[in-house]
Amino acid sequence: MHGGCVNFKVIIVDDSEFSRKNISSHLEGTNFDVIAQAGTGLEALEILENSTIDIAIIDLVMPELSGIELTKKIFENKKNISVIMISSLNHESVVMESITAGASDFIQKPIAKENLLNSLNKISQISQEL
Amino acid sequence: MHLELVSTKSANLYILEGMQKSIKPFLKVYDQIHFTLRKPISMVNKIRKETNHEFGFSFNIDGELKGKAIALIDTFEKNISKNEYHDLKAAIQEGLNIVIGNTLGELDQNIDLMSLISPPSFIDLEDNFSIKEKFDLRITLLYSIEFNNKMYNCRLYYLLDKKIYKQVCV
Repeated sequence: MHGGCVNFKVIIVDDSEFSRKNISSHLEGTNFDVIAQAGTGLEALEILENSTIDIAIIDLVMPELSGIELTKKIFENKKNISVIMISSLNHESVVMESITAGASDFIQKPIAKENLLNSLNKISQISQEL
Repeated sequence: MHLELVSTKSANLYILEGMQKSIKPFLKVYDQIHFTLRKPISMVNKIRKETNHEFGFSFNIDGELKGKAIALIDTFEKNISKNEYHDLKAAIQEGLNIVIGNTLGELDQNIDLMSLISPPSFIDLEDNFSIKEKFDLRITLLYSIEFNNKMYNCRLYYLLDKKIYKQVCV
């Protein structure tokens, strides 16, 4: 992660192109730069292999690899990255499973810009302090 | 304390009441697509496309309730270009994911039945589509969807099988 007041590199992983587009537009003009988007977990792993990303915003329900499986794989590879899980579901067990897998936060869809920025600011603040 | 299996009739009623409490009457997704409930829950027998102006999505439901959520969207007389159709599909797919996912989340909170949805499969305008499988509970709702200043009718079906055990204190 970066030190000082700098921009954070973000990847959005969601099988919904509509969702990726809208989350990305929520982050326009902020210090969170969306440098990559992926429609599947496998695509995301490939991108993460070849780039430095600070924060991954990951959808829970995706084909091939779920958000929880992807998060586990990311941390198996010991990536220095923070994960925000997003989903239309909000069951307690799903939230707990996401956090146990390594997610730093869980946001229910539809995602309000304010909630997303609060979560990102909190995560970036913690990572800067570490 | 023991576990008692409730009767089929009361189990259906239990889920139906839970669904009534849990459905979203209105949902705005990213300020771009609006879902408004037009007709409340009713029971249904036939689930099929009525014309080839309808497209849709089918989500599998798995957990303490098993089955499907199917949405059919009517595009009759909407004059949609190819690009508009692409955008409409993408917006409705995500909108439905949110409407159904939020409803299942509420259902878990209201009647303690936990179920998850799968990524959807797409039903195109030209596809023949009907459901012949039997489900314990077949319910439908009618939403109107507003996207890009156009309104679309959307029939949303929940086809559910359940295995409910109710805990009773004795």
